[in-house]
Amino acid sequence: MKKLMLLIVVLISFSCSSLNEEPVPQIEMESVLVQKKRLDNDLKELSSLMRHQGITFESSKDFKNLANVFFEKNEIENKNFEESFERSLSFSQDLGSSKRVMSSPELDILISDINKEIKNFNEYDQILDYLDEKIVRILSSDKFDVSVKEKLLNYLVFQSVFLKFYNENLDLIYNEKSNSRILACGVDQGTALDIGLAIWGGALIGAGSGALGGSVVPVVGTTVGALGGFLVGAISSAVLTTGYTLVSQAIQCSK
Amino acid sequence: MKISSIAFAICLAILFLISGLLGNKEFSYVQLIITLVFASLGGFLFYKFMRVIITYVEKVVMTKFDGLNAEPANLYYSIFNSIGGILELSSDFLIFKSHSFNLKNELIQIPYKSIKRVEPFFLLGQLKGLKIFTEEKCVRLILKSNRALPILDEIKNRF
Repeated sequence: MKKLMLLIVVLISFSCSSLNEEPVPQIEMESVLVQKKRLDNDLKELSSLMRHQGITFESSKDFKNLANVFFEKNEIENKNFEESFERSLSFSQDLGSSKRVMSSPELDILISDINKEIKNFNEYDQILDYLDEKIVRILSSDKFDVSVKEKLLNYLVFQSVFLKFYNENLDLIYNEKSNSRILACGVDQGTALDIGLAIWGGALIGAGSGALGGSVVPVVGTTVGALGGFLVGAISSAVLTTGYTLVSQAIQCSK
Repeated sequence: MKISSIAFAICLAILFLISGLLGNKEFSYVQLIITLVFASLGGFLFYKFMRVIITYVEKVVMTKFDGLNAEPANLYYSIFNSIGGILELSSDFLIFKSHSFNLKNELIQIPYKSIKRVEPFFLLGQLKGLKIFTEEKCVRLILKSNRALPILDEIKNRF
């Protein structure tokens, strides 16, 4: 989770600072959508490059080097990116604190409020809907001046794009020292469901096999064989599926 | 039981492979090896657990029919339809009694004089019991493999 927050902050800061170079007098929905699309494409390209080179966010050095190559055409963007990354590294050390990462206290408060609201959602789609709704609201609001509005929109657009990026690139985001490694490798995703299904699957297979075996074992018979097989199959399957899942994931994660 | 354990292991391996592929994992030989190792372990566990159940059922049933000249037996109709019980060789009849753990109860009494012939019963090339032919029907009984031939001789001596 810390790594995720770190990434959000890196990319938010980066996108905010890079867009500061060209102030926009009036912000329109179309430009927001263009920005969203551009970020989406950039992240897609970056993630495929990372995957191609076997780099994950675990290694900040490799990640920074790759980003340098990725943004080499634009020196300012590259510098901004490095600064943002360094800043977010320190930010990630204390996620619970109200350390300021944006340029103004007003903006910090607004973003902190948005973050608090995001934490109330459990579903990915709910967060995306919330962010889209927030974008529309901020665009039509007269409460903020253009620069604050722009930064807020950058933030929201990036959050939205990054969430998508995060969901599509779990394998790139993990931390060896924390549970997020397990999250990224997918151990906790649907494992209970998998094991539940495996128990039922094993029980049914066991019932069939037990019936088959019981039919040819004197005294046992099909009924006892099937019932015994159901029970034994469920137990065996539960034990083995758990072991199988853990071993598979350990191997997958060690790659 | 060994064959059913192998069947269990094969089905478990298929289940693991399907589950792995449904989880969008790329197919790899490492995954295949893990699947085969765990499925084999599954087959072994299944065999061991089923032996415990079989031993328990046999003990309970044989205690119930204690005192009779009884042999553990199954009345075999098909591979998925077989009734567990005991075979009793009384002075005039060959009697099969099912035990109470079955869904369907059977009691078959065959007078020795009505038996036309008795043959060993093979399943997948293995001696599994006896086929008893009368004028009306053929009764197939599953017996312990080391007891099938002595019982066949005993029945032959009586009709």
